[in-house]
This record gives sequence, C-alpha cells and structure tokens, in this order.
Amino acid sequence: MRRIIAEDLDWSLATVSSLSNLCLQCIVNNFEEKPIYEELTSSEKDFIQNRVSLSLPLHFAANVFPDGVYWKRRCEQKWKVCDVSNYGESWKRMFFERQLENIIELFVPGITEPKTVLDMVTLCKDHIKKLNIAQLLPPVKEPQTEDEEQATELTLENEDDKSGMDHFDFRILLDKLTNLEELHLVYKVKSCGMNFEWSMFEMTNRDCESLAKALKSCKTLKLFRLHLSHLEDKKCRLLVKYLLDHPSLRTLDFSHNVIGDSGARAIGKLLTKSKLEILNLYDNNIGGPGAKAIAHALSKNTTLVSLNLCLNRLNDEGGQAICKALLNNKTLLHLQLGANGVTWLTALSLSSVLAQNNTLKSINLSCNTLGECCILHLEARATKKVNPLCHLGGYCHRGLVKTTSGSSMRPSFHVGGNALEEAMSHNTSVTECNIHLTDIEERKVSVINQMVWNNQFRKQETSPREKNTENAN
Amino acid sequence: MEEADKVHEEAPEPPVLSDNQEDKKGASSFKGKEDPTEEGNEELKTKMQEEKKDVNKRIMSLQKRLTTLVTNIQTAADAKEMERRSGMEDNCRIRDERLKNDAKACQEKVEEIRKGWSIVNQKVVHSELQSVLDSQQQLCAAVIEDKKKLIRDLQQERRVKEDQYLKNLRRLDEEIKLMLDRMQQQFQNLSKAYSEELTQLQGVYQQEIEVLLAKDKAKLDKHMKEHWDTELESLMERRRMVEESEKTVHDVMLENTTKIKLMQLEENAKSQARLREQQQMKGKSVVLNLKQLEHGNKNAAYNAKLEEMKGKILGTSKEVKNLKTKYAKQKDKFMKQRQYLSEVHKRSRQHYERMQKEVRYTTAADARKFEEMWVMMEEEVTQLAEKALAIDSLICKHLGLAWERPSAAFMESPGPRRSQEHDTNPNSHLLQTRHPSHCSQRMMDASVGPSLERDSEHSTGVEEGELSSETLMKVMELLCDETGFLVEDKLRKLLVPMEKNEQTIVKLHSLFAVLGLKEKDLPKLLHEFLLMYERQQGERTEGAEAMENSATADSTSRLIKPNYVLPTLRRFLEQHRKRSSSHQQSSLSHPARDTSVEEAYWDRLGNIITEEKLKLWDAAERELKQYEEVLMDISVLVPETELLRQQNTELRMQLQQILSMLNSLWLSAEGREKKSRTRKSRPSTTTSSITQCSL
Repeated sequence: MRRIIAEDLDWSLATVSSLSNLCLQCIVNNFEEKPIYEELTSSEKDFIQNRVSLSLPLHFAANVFPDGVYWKRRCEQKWKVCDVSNYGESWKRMFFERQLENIIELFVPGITEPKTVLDMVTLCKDHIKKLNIAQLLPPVKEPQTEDEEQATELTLENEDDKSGMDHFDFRILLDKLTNLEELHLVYKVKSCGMNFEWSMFEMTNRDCESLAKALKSCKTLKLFRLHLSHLEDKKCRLLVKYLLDHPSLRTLDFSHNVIGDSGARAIGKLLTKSKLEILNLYDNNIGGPGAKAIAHALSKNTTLVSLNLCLNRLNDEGGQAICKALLNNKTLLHLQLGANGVTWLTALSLSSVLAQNNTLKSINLSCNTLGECCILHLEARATKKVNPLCHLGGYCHRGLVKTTSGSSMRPSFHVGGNALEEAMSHNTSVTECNIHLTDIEERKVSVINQMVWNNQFRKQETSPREKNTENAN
Repeated sequence: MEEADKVHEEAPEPPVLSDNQEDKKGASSFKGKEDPTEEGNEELKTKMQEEKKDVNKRIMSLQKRLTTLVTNIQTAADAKEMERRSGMEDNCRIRDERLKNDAKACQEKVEEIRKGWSIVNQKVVHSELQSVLDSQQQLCAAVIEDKKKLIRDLQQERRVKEDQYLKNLRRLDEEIKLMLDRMQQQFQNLSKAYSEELTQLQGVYQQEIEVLLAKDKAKLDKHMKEHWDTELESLMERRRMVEESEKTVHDVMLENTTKIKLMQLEENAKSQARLREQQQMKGKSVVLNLKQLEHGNKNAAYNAKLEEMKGKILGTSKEVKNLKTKYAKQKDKFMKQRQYLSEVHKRSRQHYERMQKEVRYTTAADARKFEEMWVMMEEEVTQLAEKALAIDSLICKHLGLAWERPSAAFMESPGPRRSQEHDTNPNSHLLQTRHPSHCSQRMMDASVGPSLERDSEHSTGVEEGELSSETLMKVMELLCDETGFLVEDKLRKLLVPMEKNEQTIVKLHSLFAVLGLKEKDLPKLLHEFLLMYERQQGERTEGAEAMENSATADSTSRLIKPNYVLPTLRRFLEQHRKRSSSHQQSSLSHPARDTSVEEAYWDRLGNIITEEKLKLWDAAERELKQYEEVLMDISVLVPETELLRQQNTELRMQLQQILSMLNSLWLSAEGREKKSRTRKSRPSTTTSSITQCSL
C-alpha cells in the first residue's frame, strides 16, 4: 500500500514515539518486577514518576521513590484537598502522615491488629514530623443482655479501671517515630450520632498512663497538644509527672479540659523544671491556688514566652499573684487572662507591672469586670467591716464622684481604667491590648487603644526591616 | 472559636510581605534615579516615603479593624461562656439549696411520723387508733406529695434546660455561620484592599516612572544634540587641517626631490673621481698582491678544509655521545632483561628437573607395581594349575587310571619373572648409582670459567694425573681456532679487544651453542681429545715414529695435531648424540622384557591339562551322569519294593491265621460231616480265594 504524504491528511510522524520513550514505558510497565530507577537521569526519573502505577504496594514504593511527583499523585488520588505547605512542602511526608493518622483514627482496640500500625510505622518512621489525630475510637462493646446491663450499671464506676474502654496504646508507636515533633490528640469520636456516651469523650486512666510513658519515650517531641479530652487533675498530674524531664518539649497545650488547682500545681512544677516556651491552658477549671502555683513558677522561669489562662476561674487571688510574678519576669511576651473573673484589683497590680516592665507585648483582659463600679465593692466591703479606701490608695480620688445617696445615682468609679491608662502612657512595648467587655469607660478604652496603636506604629517605623527578617525566619 | 483564632494568627502575614515588596520597589526605584537631578529626586523620595507611610497606616488600620472583629467575636464567646458558667453555678447553688431545704423539711416530717408511731403504740381504743393512723397516713401522703412535686419541678426544670440547650445549639450554629460569613467577607475585604492598594501603588509608580522617563529622555536628547554638534565642528576643523597639511607635504616633497637630485649629481662626480683613483691604486696593488695570493690561496683552502673537518668532527662527536648514551641505556635495559630472563630460565630449568625426577620416580613406582602384580598373577596361576592337577589326579584315581604328575620340575621352578627379580636387582642398583654421579657432575659443572678448569682437572686427573690447566687452555684454544669458521664474524670483531682467555671462553660458548652441547659436556670433550685421540694416534703412529710418541707422552707437548681436531670433534658429537638419545630412552622406557620366555611359560601353564585328558574327562563325565541316572531310578524303586514286601508278609500272616482257623473248623466239623454234606463246598471256595490272594 503506497501513499504520498501530501495526499494523506491524517499522516503524522508523531505517532511513533522515540525508542528511549518506549524503553521507559517498558520500565514503567514492569516496574514491580524489575525496578530500575536510581540509574536513570533526572528527566527519565520524572517520566517514571509521572507514569508509574499508583497501586504499587506501599512498602515497595516507599523505598524506591524520593519525595516528588509520584507522591503528589498518590496524595491527590487519595484526598481532595491537599495543602502541601502544612507539611514542609513535602508530598511524601504529607502522604505518610495522613496515612498514619487515618490508620490510627480508624483503629479499634481489640479488633484491629496492632501489626497494621507497626507495618506502616516501619515504612514511614523517617518521614513523620507531625501527627494530628482527630479521633480515637473506643473498643466495640459486646451486645449485652438486659440482665447483664443492669449488673454493669451497678459496676459502672469501676469500669474505667477494668480493661473495658481503653483506646489505642501509643506506646507501640511513639518510640519508633524518630522524627516526630508535633503531636495533636483528641480523645473523642467523630459523628457518633445517637450512640453518644460521655465515656467516648474522655480518656481512661490506663490510656493516660500509656500515653504518658509513650510521651516520655519520644525524645524529639516539641509540641504536645491534648484538647477537648476531659482531662482531669489526676490524669494531668500523671502526664506532667512523665513530662518533667522531657528534653525537647517546648509547647504544651491542654486547652478545653477540666484541669483544676492540683493539676495547675503540677504544671507549675513542670514550668520550673522544663524549658517550656508556650503554655496554653485555655478553658479549664483553674482557680486561685492553682494560679498562685503557676505564678510562683513564672517568677523563676526564664524561658516561657506565652501564657494563656483564658476562661479559667483565677479571680483576683490568682490574677494578682500572676501580676506580682511578672514583676520579676523579663521573658514573657504574651499574657492572656481573659474571662477569669478578675476585677480592678488585678488591674491595679497589672498597671504597676506595665509601668516598669517593657517586655510584655500583648495583653488580654477581656470579659473581666475591671471597671466595675467600685462603690459596690465599697459597699460590699463596708458590710464586711473593711475599709476599702486604704486598699485603693492614691487612685481613688481621681475617679471618685461623691455620692449623696447610695444606689439611686450610678457612680462612675473607674479605678481600673484609670490605672491602666496611666500605666500605658509610660509603656512602649505593648502592641496589643484587648480590654473589650470589661466595663471600662468608652473614652478610656479608646485612649488606651490609641496608645497601643502608637506603640505598634512606632515599632513598625523603627524596625520594619528587622521585623521582615524575623518573619522571613 | 478556633477558626477565629486561626484567622487572627494568619492575618498579620500578608501586609508584611507587601511592605517588603514596597520596600524593594522603593529601593530599586531610588537606585535607578541617581542622576544629576537631585532636587527632583529628593522631592520624589519624600513623596514616596509619605505615600509608603500612608499605605502602611492604611494597611495596618485595616488589619486591626479586621482582627479586632475576630477578637471581638472571641471575647463575646468567652463572655457568653462565662455567663453560662456563672448561670450554671447559680442554678446549681439554687438547686442545692432547694434540695437541702427539702431534705430538712422531709426530715422534720419524718420525725413527726416517727413520733406519731410512738403515739400509735400507746393508743388502745380502736377509733382513736384509726384517727391516729389516718393522720399518719396523711402525713406520709404529704411527704410523698412533696417529693413528687420536687421531682416534677426538677423534671420541668430539666425540660426547660434541654430546650435552652437546643436553642443554644441552634444559636451557636447560626453564630458559626455568621462567623464564617464574616470571615469570608474579611478575606474578601482584605484581598480587595490589597488589590486596590496594589493598583494604586502601581499607578503611582507608573506615573513616576513615566515622568522620570520623559525627563531623562529630554535630557538625553539635549545632551546628544550638543555632543553631535561638537563632534561635527571638530570634524570639520580636522578636515581643513588635513587639507592644509597635505598641501605643505606636497611642497616639501617637491623641494626635497630637486635637492636630492642635485646632491646625487655631485656625489656621482666625486665617486667617479674616486673610482679612478682606486683603479690606479688597484693596478698597483694587484701586482703586489699576486704574489701574496699564491700563498694566501693555499692557506685559505687549508683553512676551509680544516673548518669543514672540525664541523664534521663536532657532528660525529655529538653523534657518538648520543650513541653512547643510547648504548648505555640499551645496555642497562638488556642487563635487566638478561637478569630477568636468566632467572626465568633458572626457574624453568629447576622446574624441568623436578618434573624429570617426578617422571623417573613414577616410572619406577609403576614398574614396581607391575612387577608385584605380575608375581601375584603368576602365583595365582600356579595355584590354579595345582588345583587342576589335583582334580585330574582325583579323576584318574576314580577311573582307575594311573596318574602321574606332568613335569614336576617345571612346576616347582618359579616363573620367569620371579627368577628375573634376582637378576634385575643389581641392575637397578647400577641405575641408582649412576644417577648420583650424574648429579654431582652437573653440580660441579654449573660453575663456569676457572672452576671449570679445576673441574676438568679433577675429573681427568684421576685417569690422567698430569693433565694441567695449561694444556687444557691450549686444547681449548686449539679447538677455538680450528672451529673458528663456526663462530660468527660479528662476534669475532667484538672479541678483538678482549684478552685471549676471555676470547676463548666466549668463543667456546658460542661454539657450544652452535653444536647444541652443554657446558657440562666440555670436560668430556676435552677428555676425549686428550685421551682417546692420543691413544689412537699413539697406536697409529706407534710403529712409525717412536720419537714422536715419546714426545706426545710428554705432558706439555701432548697436543692433538690441528688437522685431527675436526674429525675428532665430529666423532665426539656423533657419540654424544647417540649417548644422549640412548640415555633419554633408557631413562624413560623400561628395559624390554623377554616376552617369548613368558609366552612359553604361560602356554605350558595353559596346557598343563592336555586335550586328550579333556576328552577323557568329558567321556568320564557323560558315563558318570548315566550311572547317576540309573542310581536315581533305583533309589525311587527301592521304597516301592519295600512296601510290596511288607504287604506280602502281612498277607501271609493273614493266610496263616485263616488256615489255623480253618483247621480248627475242620476238627469241629468232622463230627457233623455226615449230617450236612452240602456245606463242603464253602471251604473250597475260601481256599480258592486264599490262593488268589496269595497270588
């Protein structure tokens, strides 16, 4: 059959690919039987990474392919949303971290073989830096007959200590991950629906112990976050006990738990012993005594940069203690005491701190009643036969409006606001100050905000380049 | 809440980046503008800075607004949480108080009831009892009513709380939605603001750049124009200058040529005059010189030749030097090679000797083995023959034939091999003794030169006694001289500067190499020359010249005549070749065996039982077989006859009994014979039957 090219409009040379491409295609087709990869040039490697089947067994692929297009393809095949910037721009790391997270989140104790986790771990232990585990399943309960159910109701309280409800044991995992730096844990069950039980949302004692030992064995951990897990004092103490000598831990986050005073005391001890930089105890149950312990540790500590105690029950007792500790501390940059029920007394001591401390950068005092009518306190104190004026000292005369009759006229006795305002006028370091919903007079709030704003602007004026470099780092 | 947190954290990032970009942009634009127009630059700088500040401020305020929005939400949530907590605490307190009150009231009532019971116990009258019981019942009912009420209240409260919780959840949901919307809006706002900012900045910069460009362009144009003008002017001037200079050059050239021509004319005149003078002088000098020339010519020719020779000598000396160095190099190289090769040669020779030894040893071992085998075989065969003879004798005895041992003497005598053993033993001894002598000879001959002489002295001294080294040397020289035609010319040339001794040695070496002899053969050769030939010579000339004989007997003059050297040498070579070949054969192959004797021996052994005997044996076997068959038949028949004999005796016994019985019957029946005659027939029948049986 003869044809002249000019006559055949469909004829094209491109249909025959080059020999090297055919060879590469052959390698791709037989990759599982005969993996040829290391010997190739970089462009050929790209070719292979772009074409090799995604169903290669993981233990095989993990050893052959470095980070690159192949792992990107696998990630995109598995998940819809892939933001590689959260994983240090490494697709391989992303793949393995999410894979391991998936396995652990779907791990049912007693049913799933621990081997599945261990197999995965041997493959990916070098690549995992961060684990964000969003749920931990409890073991499946055997369907019980009604008689037994009644019996179990009676022994419900002891059940925790029996093997019934233990979650995944981290001891088998953490000591093998040699590069792990961040661990985020939540003891809860996602979308449990009508099977809801409180026990699904808390850890058992044995869980706590195994987790603590596992944490101790993981020497590279820098960030540990255990939130929304109904962590009590006892368990908190246990965890802290094992973390006391941890060599690398820098960030500890126990937000949204139920830690009380004794737990806070333990954390205070941890602050004196370790090199923590960020401590987050948002939304817990810490009261005055606990806060005092933390304050005591804070006055000696030289590493802590950020302390978050929002939504606790410090009250003035704790608030004042912490402010006093700040007089001796020159490292803390961020302090958050929002929603703690502190009053103008704390505001007074804080303003005395602000007047001489030039390291604090941001303060949060929101949702406290700083500017509360002092007269009420006066009255309250008067009933307790205590003279408030001696406590108020020199600040009283400024905001004091003489009242003829007690409650008919609302007296404006804004001691806290005044004190803060004056302190801020001396301070140059604070660039953020949140005093919303604190009953401080509007005018004062705006004045304070203006000062903060000036501080911020000045800082940016003087060292924009430094800041740039900081950010770049 | 957390999302809000995140927004809060992420928000500060972008403006910094933009700041960075702005800074860079500003810097680059500043750098680009470092031109003469400094005033404008200053203005622009201040303007830019103001603008940047403005932008910064705006961005920061925007950021702050947005973040405060988020923080507001968070604080609001916190506040709500606080409120919820305090509310919960209040509720708890109220509930506790209420429960406490209730418990107290309950306690009182229970006390009352208890008291009532004590009253019940005291009452005896029925009606009273009834009334008291009623009251008790009422009290109990009241207590129960209270409890129920409390429970109802609590349940109510719970229901309310549940509703509240639900509402709360719904509200939270709405809030979250709202927050999401807000966040979305914030994102949009922020990005919008940034994009606006960007466009604005771009516009500003664009304008600036345009303005600057226009200015620069104008300036550039101006400068260029000026430059071109000046260039043009200078060019014009130059052209003029060039033209002028050309003119002047032309003039000068013309002048110069005329001057030169004048000068030349003058010079010519002068030179002609001089020439004339010179020729006159020459005329005189020629006459003078002619004589000198004759001498000079010769000298010059010699000188030239000398020069040439010198040059040649120099060239050749150089060449010689080169050659010498080359020669030295080559010599070194060859020395090394020779050393190496000699080592290799020595090694290979040692190897060869080892191999030979091995071969000899193995052949000896094989031979011994073979002998042993042979002897064993012979012994076995003689044993077999003995056996056969024994059997033969048995057979003969059986047949009653006379048997005599065939040639007992031969049987008793051992086989040829065994008899040979005694003969070969000394032979092998000889072989063994010969070897060491060889070895020692070789060892001694390994050293060449002076040792060689000593050796020869040593070996020949035994027989010759007065053979001195001098004579040896002489013989050797003679040999060399006579066989000189075998030595190559080149070698001979090379040998010229050497001493005579060395010459002869080297020549001998080459000669030996040509003839295929070894150094160890030298003494033999010499020996041959000195001894054998002398003897022959002596024999031949004994009768003819006794004087000569006596002269040759003298040790110093006992030299071969040069004419006989060649034939002797040839003969020696032939002998030597034969010897070496025979030696090789003898060393490798076994001495030939006398096969005929052995063959006869074996034949005799094989035929020790003769053909006739074999035939006899066959016949005897056949007969014996027949005899055996007959015997077998007899042995089968014997038990049968035995059986029959037994039967016979038994039957005879029976007959005897019957006969005795009949006799008794006869005796008893005699009396009745007369009465019954008829019975007579029966015994006759019985007797007949008995006879039958006996038969």
